[in-house]
Amino acid sequence: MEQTRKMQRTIIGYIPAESPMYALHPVARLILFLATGLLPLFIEAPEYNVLFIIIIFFMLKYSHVNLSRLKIFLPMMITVGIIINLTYFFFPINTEEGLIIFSIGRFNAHFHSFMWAMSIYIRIIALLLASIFYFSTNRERDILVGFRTLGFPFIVSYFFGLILRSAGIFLEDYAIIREAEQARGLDVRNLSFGGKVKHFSMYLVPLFTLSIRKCEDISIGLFSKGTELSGKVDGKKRPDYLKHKMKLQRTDKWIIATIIAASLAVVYFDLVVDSFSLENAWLYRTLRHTWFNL
Amino acid sequence: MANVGSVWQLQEGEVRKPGLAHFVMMALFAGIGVVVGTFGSLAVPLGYVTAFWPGQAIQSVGSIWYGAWGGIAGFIFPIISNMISGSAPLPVSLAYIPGNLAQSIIAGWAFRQFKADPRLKSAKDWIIFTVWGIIVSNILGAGWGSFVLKWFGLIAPGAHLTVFIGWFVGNSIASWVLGVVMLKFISPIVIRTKTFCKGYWA
Repeated sequence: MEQTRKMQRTIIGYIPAESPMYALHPVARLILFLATGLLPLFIEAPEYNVLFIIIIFFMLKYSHVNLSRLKIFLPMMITVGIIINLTYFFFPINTEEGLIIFSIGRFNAHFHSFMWAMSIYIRIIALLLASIFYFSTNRERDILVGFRTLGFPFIVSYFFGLILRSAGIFLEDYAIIREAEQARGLDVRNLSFGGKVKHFSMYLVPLFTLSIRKCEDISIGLFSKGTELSGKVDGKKRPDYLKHKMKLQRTDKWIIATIIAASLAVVYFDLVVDSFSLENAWLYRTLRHTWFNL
Repeated sequence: MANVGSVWQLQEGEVRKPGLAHFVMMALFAGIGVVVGTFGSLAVPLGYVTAFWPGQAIQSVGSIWYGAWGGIAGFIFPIISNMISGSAPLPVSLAYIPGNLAQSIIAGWAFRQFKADPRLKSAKDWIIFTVWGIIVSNILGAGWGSFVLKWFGLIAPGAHLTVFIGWFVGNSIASWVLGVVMLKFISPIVIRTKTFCKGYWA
């Protein structure tokens, strides 16, 4: 029988119960996210970003993330692809080359425009997968430890923590409201677009009413605990249990250094050597040669 | 004598100061924005040129109720909701900040400047919300947003105007419907709370 991977519900999604990624310090994971969330912007060549996507999938698998949970992002990824390709089909760029792949009526699919749309689409998917990977392998507390280790002020990390916690609370409230409606026989799938918009707006009334009550509760709780939103308590540096518990190891430092070095190398090869431009891409040149013998 | 009819007017002896409750409400409000923005994007997945993004209503209404606190929440929550829903990558979300900030503060400024009632009681209130909270906010938001998309190459330069119009019309309708529901039904409760801001910070 196939072993199903155990996932844990976090306030912002699901993460694996056990993962090799957890051996890394949260700041190393945060820097990995920042690098993977930016590097595709320096790469136009589709093959490199496809390689990047494959690596992210490998990392998701290696990190024991349940890949079936990614289905929720599929409609988004398909519609984004359609929108990008349609805009570059109806409003083509670099048409002076005159390389036309096919025509529909008076509209022509120009080769460069098509390749650029594909390059941008693959880049966006790579960036989105980098975000999905980070939120699929990090708890809210990991994000906060990452922030604090990087030296963000206490009030900033506390604010983000409170946002994430409240988002989690309201996601649960939202689910309860939906379940209550479904229990009364409402099937939102049968609603028209206008009906969905109108229906969605009705969720906001109970959500806000709950938030006002929770704000009162949390404020009173923080006040009664004497919480101060600063990095110092009684003139001394605020003790940080989580940060103290999760110490940067030598391996983490090496990984961080490697990520930074690899990122700088990509930036150098893009800006100085122009290694990742679309026109120099293997796929671009191969398709151009195959379709137009150029 | 104080004008007891205006929700923005301080009553005699009333003292309002920014405090912990405002900070908490800002975070909770951003949390709601994350939920609404995420589910709005996932429910109608049109990606980064979403024609249905209910988050804009949260932004406008946030600054009307919570002044600058709502304004701050309004430009922060889209970054998180975009990452969770996968509707825009981090660099694009960061580039959206000026547009989101504009969408988050204009309605709050207009309601205070022109003394409109958040409960939408008179024709003037409706007009101010529609003109400033929806039309002006979305012109700036859609203008900046479509510029960002062009800047990142996510749309063809020739499609800029088409995307701008689609974004503006789609977002305006969705945020008007949601904004009206929130203001009509929730404002009467919010204005009685201590976190409601008569000024910009308290």
